[in-house]
Amino acid sequence: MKRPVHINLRKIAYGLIALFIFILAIQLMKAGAKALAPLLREASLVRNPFNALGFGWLGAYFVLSGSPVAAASLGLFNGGALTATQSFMMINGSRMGASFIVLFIGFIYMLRGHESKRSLSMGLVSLMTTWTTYLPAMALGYTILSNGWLNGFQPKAASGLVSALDAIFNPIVNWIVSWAPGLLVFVVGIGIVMFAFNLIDRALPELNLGKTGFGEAPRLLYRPIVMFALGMAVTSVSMSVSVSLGLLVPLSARGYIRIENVIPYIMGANVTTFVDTLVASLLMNNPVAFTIVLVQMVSVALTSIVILLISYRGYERVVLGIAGWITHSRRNQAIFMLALVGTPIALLLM
Amino acid sequence: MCSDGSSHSEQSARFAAYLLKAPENQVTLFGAIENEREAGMIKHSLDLLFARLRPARSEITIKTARGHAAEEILTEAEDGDYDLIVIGSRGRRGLTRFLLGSTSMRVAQYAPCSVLVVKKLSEEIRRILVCTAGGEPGLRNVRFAVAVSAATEADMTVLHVMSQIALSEDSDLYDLEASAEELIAHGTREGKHLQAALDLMRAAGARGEVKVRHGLVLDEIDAEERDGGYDMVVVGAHYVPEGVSRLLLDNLTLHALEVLDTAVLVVREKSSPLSTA
Repeated sequence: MKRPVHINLRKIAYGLIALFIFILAIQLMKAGAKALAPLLREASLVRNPFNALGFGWLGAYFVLSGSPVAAASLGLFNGGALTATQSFMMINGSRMGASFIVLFIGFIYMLRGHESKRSLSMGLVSLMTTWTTYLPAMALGYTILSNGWLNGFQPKAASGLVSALDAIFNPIVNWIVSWAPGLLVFVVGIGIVMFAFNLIDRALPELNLGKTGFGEAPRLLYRPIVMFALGMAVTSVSMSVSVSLGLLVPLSARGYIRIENVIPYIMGANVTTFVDTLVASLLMNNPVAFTIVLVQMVSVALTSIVILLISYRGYERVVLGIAGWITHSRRNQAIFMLALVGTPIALLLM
Repeated sequence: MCSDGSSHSEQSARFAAYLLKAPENQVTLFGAIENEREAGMIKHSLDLLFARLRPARSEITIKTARGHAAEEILTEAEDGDYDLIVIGSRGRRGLTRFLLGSTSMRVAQYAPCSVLVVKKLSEEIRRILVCTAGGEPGLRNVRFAVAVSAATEADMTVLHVMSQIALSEDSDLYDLEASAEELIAHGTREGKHLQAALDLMRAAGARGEVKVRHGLVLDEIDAEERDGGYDMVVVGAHYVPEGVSRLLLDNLTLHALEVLDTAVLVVREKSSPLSTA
């Protein structure tokens, strides 16, 4: 007799609560950003795309995550505090900052002399892969956005859904806004979105790559474009590069994977890690916000595919070469750390 | 042995004749004629090769076929139940080489038996590099190379490349940094395989060593080939399982053929090792 499919009610509950809280957080950020926008313009904190990049970068350091900062960027754009290109650059900054966070603890240990090459190696490979794809993707995306080449892909507002969401959430948001200043509302929104992402992680279905055709990734070499597609597919569900990397761990009893397999996997993960930001843009009910995120995803995807098809072996060597230079000595590690902290600050001051 | 009438294919055939010097190895000289203009040249080339090889062996056959070179070679290989195809890498196929891939690449990829693709020509084979990813396919490569080593008295190096990276804090880094001797001493999976390779070489009386390199697989094989001055590199044919995995796995054998400068022997399961008498 065939066993009935097991329904995990707890995961469903987490998912529903996470969705409710996520939508609430987006509504709070929208409301908070509207009140905050005049103050930000007056303070001239973000005057150009480079400031926005640094702002998003430092923001990710501060909240130890990129997704809330990306969502905040859309909120600030929606509120008129940022232009579309500034919001785009802030989202890029959030990814630059997020990719370092994985590495940060390992780096501190290494600078103190502790042997931590294990997680540092994967963290560095992930960071270098992200940065070396995002820098050219940023230039491409900025060009696409500035020229409006993807403006035709803006979604039509589902007025029924928007009305329903307003009816549910406006009373809550209005009550909070009535007694809290704009900045606090915005910050609370960021805090709640972080909590929502935590719940989303718990609501994710069990993904077991060992039961797929990729169980031999620790030993065999898969086609780079195939691993890229896998990274995209897995992260479209997990919405987090580090969670997607964690799914590879059970494939190997000894905890290894071929470098040739993991680099394109990370490249793919870097495309669909924006799925949650894309959803946030839809909830903003702002078509241009959607276009900003779409441009981000398309530019990263195009850049990655060009690398994979034209110069993948050379690219692998560059990534590993840079990572190797950084881990070569404590002096190099210290230089790298200074650059990581100093660069976003310098961008903010430009 | 395949010839398209070019000087490179003639030299490749002479290289193969040196390799296959045991007289009981049956040799077929094969020419694929794609157009009538080259028919005379190919036949002349085959006749010259026949004359050179005839004194040392009794069974040499000449065959020609008309059609696309790679397809005709593959058809002959399937019909003739051969153990080894010898082919040069620098033919004269013009535009089709870029449209369909070179003849030697296509033959190496789809042949039913092992293929020796001769690139850089050596006067003799003094050093052989055997690449192994582990398991029975790796040991098959070693057995084939042992047979070649016996015929040529070449030294062998069996190479395994560790390109793995640790996924988590709990991963044991030891295997990712250990030498071949250390892996053997610790009895790891790679160590046991390398010990089995050593045992095969010793049992056959071949001079050889085992080696482990750490880095990207293709880069390390390429670096070892250049640093070691090898005359031949032995790799396994691309493992193509049934089902979806066929689409998923990368063809390292083809990449190696593109990258390596020396003669490359692609070992396939069907073949028995060469006669070494």
